Amino acid sequence: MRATPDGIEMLRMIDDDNFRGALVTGCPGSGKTTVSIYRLVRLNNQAHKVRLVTYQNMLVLAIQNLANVQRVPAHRVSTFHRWYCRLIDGGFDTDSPPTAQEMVTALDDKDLANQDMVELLIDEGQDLPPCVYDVLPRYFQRIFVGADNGQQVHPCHGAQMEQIEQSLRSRSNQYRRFTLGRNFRNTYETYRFARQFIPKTNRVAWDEAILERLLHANRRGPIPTVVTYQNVESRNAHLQVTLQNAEGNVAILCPLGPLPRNFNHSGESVDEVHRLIENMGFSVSKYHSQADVPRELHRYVVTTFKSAKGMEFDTVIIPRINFFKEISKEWFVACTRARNQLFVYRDLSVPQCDPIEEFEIDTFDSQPAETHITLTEDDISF
Amino acid sequence: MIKGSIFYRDGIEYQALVDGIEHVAKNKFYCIRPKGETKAVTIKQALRNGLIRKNVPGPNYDLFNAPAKKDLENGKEKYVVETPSRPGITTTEKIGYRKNNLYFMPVDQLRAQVFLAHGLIYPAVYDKAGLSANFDDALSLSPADLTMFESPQLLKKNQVLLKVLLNPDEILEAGSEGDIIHVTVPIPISRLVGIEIPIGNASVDRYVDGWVKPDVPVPRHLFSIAKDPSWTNENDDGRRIPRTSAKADPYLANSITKFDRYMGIMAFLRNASRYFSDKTGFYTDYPDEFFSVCQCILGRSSVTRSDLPTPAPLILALLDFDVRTTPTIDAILTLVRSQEPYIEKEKVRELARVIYTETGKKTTLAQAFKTLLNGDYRSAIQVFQRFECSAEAAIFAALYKFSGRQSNGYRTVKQRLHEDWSSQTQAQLVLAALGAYYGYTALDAAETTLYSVHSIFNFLKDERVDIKFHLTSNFERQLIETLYQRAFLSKEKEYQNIELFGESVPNFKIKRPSLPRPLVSDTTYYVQDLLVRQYEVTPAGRIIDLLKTWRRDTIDEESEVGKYLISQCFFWAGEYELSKKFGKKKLHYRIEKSKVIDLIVDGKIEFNPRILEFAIKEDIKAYAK
Repeated sequence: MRATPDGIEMLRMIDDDNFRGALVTGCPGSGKTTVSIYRLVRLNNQAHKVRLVTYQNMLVLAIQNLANVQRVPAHRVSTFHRWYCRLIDGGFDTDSPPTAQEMVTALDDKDLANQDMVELLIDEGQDLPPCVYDVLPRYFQRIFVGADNGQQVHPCHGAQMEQIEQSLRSRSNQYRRFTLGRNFRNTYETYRFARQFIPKTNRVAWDEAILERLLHANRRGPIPTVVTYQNVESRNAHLQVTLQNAEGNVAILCPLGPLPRNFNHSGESVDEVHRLIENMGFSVSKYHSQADVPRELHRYVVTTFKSAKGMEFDTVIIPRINFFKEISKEWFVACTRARNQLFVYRDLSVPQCDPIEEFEIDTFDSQPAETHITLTEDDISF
Repeated sequence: MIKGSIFYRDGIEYQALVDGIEHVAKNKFYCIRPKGETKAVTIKQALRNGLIRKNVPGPNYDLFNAPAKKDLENGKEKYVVETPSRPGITTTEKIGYRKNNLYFMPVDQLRAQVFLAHGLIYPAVYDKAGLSANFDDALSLSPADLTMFESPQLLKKNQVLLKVLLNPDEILEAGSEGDIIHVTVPIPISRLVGIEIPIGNASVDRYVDGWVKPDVPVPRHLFSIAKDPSWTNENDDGRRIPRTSAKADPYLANSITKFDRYMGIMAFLRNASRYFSDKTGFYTDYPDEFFSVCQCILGRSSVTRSDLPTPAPLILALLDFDVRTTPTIDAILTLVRSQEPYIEKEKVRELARVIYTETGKKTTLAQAFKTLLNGDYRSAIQVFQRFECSAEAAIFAALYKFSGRQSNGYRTVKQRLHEDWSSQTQAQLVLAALGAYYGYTALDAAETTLYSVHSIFNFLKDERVDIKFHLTSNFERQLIETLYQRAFLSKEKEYQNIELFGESVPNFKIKRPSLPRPLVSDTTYYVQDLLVRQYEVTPAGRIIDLLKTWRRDTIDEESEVGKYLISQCFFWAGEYELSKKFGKKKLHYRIEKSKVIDLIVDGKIEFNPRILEFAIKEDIKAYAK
């Protein structure tokens, strides 16, 4: 969030306290989380009691890292479940959530109303059930929710934006709705590449206006690199060089978490790739739904396509794009995590699903993995 | 006379602002004849009519120092503003300035932040991000100029009142209507001497704590709560400010870009030494290279140190000094001046071919360029740095690598700076080039993390280290002012403005931390009013640092260190005995390593640092086996 190139609507949202309930909506990468983080930073700086909750463990760590730079204590950020369960000394089952009355009883017991909480910021609000919005506003002076129906992880139990809006409105007429319309995360090149994973029938992803807006905002960057390989050794050698040269926060994303029993393709599983990268000498964190949540995130993180949702990284590396089945949305999510550089490794040795086969040739820079190891002293044509 | 001609009268230098006027030197009073007129007018009338202007000795000299005429007539009327404290900085003086140079701008508080981020107060028409139309202030109504008032104005709840000093030329050239003037040129942030916030705010500190955008440098000491009951939901901007159409001047737009580039160089260069303290054992707020460049910009009288290195031609070329350049410097300048969102591979390939050809077609260079273009930047720069002929090519490679303006390159470049670059001198060139490329506006206001700080300097680790200028010293203001002159007026001379800002802006004392004395030597000094803290790890500090890396808790007579220190440590040891073996006396002792460290810190043992360092290194090697 910067004072200069970003949208004025985002800047205003950070400073605006004239509401009891606010809902901020927008496409992926539009800055909903960023606005929440900077509200958290501002209110914390101004010595207000404020808390930010979200749905995913990894996102909590990422937000804590960002907020920590601005001297916000880590305990101000947590998953909703962790915060709520600790608060009431009980549980919260998202699949079978409590009734509003049950929540009120539990919270009244803990005297939350008298804790003088100024603001609750809820990120990824579409993943929490409606009862949360019926109840929590009464315990906070303000509640600020970021949500987008299109990004729901579990459509069966999450709240729709309209439900959230209705709950916040019914609580107070001091309700605000903000809409963020621009993608601030991706470059034109990354988005143009990534949308090809999605069928053209999907009008939202293929909306030409998205590319036009990215062009208009001059959000440009290097085109994604697709590295082709025939054997894993050459892929690994190339991967090592890519990791050494990767800048900022680096995500290495895989479709699977634990190593599957019938494992036969290197690059598909978080556990296997994590071990591989550790053996290369990098300090690297890993996370998937069946692994422990790391205490802190290293610069390099190996995780699944799904767990990376809602997050962004300076560099994204996908060690093997091929998969035995079509996972269009996950491929799209994985690629659009990249702020700056995207590296995709494409296995040409196995006749398996190759989603890049039909991509437009000018949307990526194709490079054989052997390039790094075949340079010779007398080869000076560059 | 033609426009721009200089003439002198009563020892004062004047400049013609229009073609065809005549200076009638013989006439005592009516001495300026406008073009086509028979009657001459007085100097005063000519000044008022915009025919001529008075040239002051040095840029903006009158503005901050020399008493203006109106001042003398009116007596010494001054404003005094109480300033809030800034953590780590103590205000030692109050602001005092002359009333007739001071103008007031009520602006949207977001616009004020944008000005601070740019280091420039500019008309809305030059806003690249296109935010201005949505700001709630007079500048949105009149985007081609800066609307300023002669007296403080009512503020809306979301506005602040900027207090800006103008120089006589700027006042003269501005259009005026009653108490409003319209300044059509951007003004450097060095002229900002106060920011009033609406009276509804209970505390300045709490208000300022809400300014959290990472690219906005917040000069906390300039803030105060408006003294008048000066906030209201309705002020009369809408009625009083004429709506004007916006038309940008291409010359000014180009100057804004230049200014951004120059400021970016100095801001990105200033912390270079901090990133290398782990390697050098030396920590200073500003590297020598920063002051050597300042010396070129400001003149030798402003930076009097005589031991400064000669500034690198690349940095001078980036600042548009007329210096002899190499093909590589030319390629770097091409990349820096491009306004592209990132540098494309093909562009780099093309320039690389030129560098390769013009530097004698060396195979190593070609090979390294190829490695770079294949994505292996780190291997490429190691090769480039190894040879003198290609050292500049390494800077070129770094520019390419971190060229994404949408990325966090301005932060990530620092993560591995100390590993990537063999010397601080080389890294400084990279920082200067990238500072110019990104521009001041794009940079963070302060460091988010300092990488690779020597462990002995941990006492500094919680400090917030500025990148952008927070207007905390007159030296800083003077530097900004001079960069502004270079960008907007293209003046290439040694500026005689050491006294420029005088006492007209606040002066500060930065708190000096308590030092772990025997481990760190302190050679802090001042450049004018700018405190430059400078610390170096002493030999004792180096020894202790080395001892800490040796993975043993105790030291005994078996180790090289133990042997060397035996005479001094024997009676301090936890265990010691004298034994005899084969008729030979033998001393045994074992002492806690932490105890030895304490003895060194307390100065209770003496040693030759070179011998002890050698002994520790030998032990580290031996015990690692």
